[in-house]
Amino acid sequence: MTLVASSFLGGAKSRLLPASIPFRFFGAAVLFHVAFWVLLFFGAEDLPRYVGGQGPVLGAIHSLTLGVLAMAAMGAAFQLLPVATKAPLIAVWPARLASWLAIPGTALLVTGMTTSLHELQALGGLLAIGGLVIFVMLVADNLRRTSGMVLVTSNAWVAVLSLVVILGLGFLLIVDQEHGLLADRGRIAIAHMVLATYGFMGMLAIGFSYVLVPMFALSPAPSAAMGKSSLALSVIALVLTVGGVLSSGAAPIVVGTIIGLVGVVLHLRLMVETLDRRMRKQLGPSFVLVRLAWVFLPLSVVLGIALTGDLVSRAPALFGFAALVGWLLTFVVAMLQRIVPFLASMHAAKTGRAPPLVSSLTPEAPLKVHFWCHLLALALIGLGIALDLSMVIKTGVVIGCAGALAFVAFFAMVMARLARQRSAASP
Amino acid sequence: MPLSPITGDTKIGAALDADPALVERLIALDPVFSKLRNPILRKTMAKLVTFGEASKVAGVPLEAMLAVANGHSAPTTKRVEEQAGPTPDWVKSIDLEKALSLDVRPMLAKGEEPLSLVMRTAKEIAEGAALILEAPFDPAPLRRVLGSKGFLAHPEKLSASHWRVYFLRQRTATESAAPGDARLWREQDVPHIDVRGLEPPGPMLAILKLLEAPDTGDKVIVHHERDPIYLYPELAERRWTAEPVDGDPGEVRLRLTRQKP
Repeated sequence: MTLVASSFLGGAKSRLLPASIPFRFFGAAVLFHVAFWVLLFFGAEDLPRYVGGQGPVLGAIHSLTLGVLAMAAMGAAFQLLPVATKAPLIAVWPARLASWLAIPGTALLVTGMTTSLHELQALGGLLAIGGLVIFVMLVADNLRRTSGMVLVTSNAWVAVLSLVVILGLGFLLIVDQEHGLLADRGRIAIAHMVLATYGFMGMLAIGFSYVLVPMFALSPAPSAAMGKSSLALSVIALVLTVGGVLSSGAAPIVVGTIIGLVGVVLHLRLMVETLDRRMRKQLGPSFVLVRLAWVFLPLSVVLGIALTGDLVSRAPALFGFAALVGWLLTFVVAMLQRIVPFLASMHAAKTGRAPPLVSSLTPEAPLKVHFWCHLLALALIGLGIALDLSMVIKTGVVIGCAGALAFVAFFAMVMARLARQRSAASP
Repeated sequence: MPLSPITGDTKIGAALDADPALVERLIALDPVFSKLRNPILRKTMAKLVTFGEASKVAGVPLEAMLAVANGHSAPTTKRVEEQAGPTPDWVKSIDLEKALSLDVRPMLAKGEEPLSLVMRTAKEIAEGAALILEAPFDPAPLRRVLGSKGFLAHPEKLSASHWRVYFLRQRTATESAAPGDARLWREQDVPHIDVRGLEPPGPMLAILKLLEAPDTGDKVIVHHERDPIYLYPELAERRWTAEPVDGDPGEVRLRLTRQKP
């Protein structure tokens, strides 16, 4: 990049948040990913029959949902959403504040859930809720100021509204833990889980797919009409399913789940069409994971239908595993391995030179290890739950943990390479 | 009152309006400029043609023309023989039987102005179709004008007084080089792409598609509404660099340059 361009790029970087903002959330997600597998190891015996309750499985679930998925969503939303909506964040400090609350809050909450220490849960829960409320306000403000990227923003709106309800339900559950206010705690917990999986994380994952998948695959933006139909069906499905859960009505749950399945199929058709029209022919292992996640998404909904009719033994665990690990975790780690070096490349150019090649910032070896470990873990744990074999589950969890450690190595190496690039580029 | 100083970018018509005696000085420099005595040509082509372009069309060195135009004595110079570049692939792929041909040499010989006919004909050319123009010189200004309307152009010198110029109307962005409603045109043989108003990742795709097109060359001008920060890593992967150039208010204009291997 020429000298003239360097000053220009310095200006361009104003659209980039300071590197520490997205990377602190991504770093936290990467560490909570390890914590998830470790906690799951200790809950492996209970996993096939798990339907709720304190202990390592609940800790693992929240390490995954709040720790990995929500942190990745926050890092991505703070950096990527303003670019998609063409409206900058109103300020950077609330994003920092959100991290100071949400990251330690989640750690305390997970510890409290794992060890059944209610005070710790309450404190951690309040901090995490505080961080997420700031996140909601920042994202809502950003969405309010834009009229473009209708698929991304409308999905993000549903995610934000879902998060508000989730936080309310989560707060109720925490208070109920101490004071026993709720007549049917189980139904609230299921509604909380359904909204968190498909309402908040699901809608965010689907919404970001409409910009991230075309961006990394170099494809035209997907059809807005079909995306809107998918969203409308998903919203109807969420309302019916959550309403059915809270009112103990089986019919709305089944109808809602079937409608949700149609919405999911439309979304996946859109994604497949998007990939079919791509310019980048070699998508690499990350998109193998993305495609795998897309297999788990409808599978989780089908398992949800089976769950309502009690048609499959150990359906709750299989459903939770397919939705949270098979779909969301697989999708998020696939996207993180593309986003992290891509963002690093842009930040490395800060001092005015041409950005380093993304490929030069991407360590392939740890990603390969993670890829195979993740695939093996999915297969073994799924099999272990279906056959109620705790040793198979534990083996899968250990392999999954090895993959998560490889992902930590990947993240650390990208950060080290970014630091080297920046120090080499500084005058 | 003469324009001062006249440069290669000054329009011939503007200089003649300011200094009518310049016609005779140019003719004295080279008889090829006697066409400028034709009032119709002066009102039409001369308004479009810069001194730089006229120099190429007439084969007269620019410095000599500028010296005469600025009231100095002309340096001793040789005529410049304009050489057309190698034939691009898109010219080879033109179906000559389907292309529309237009010979403007008889019109020019009669002192008639062919520009409006060429423009009317070009308007009828469908996307992906070609127009083949026969002219007594390389009509560089016309290439520029049609380039801004989405035509690729390539001149071919057949003899001293016979040039054949191939024009190909590019397909709209949606169908070929750029997805969405990106606007493509050429100015002085440099492709321009306007991606303003496209939703992400439309601008990036449109630009990358253009860079990967076989006839793009080594420079591209991008008209954007904001700094395309996500584009830079992709440019680096493709060994292109970006630098800002002056643009309209509210516009980010970039010059992309292919790095030498």
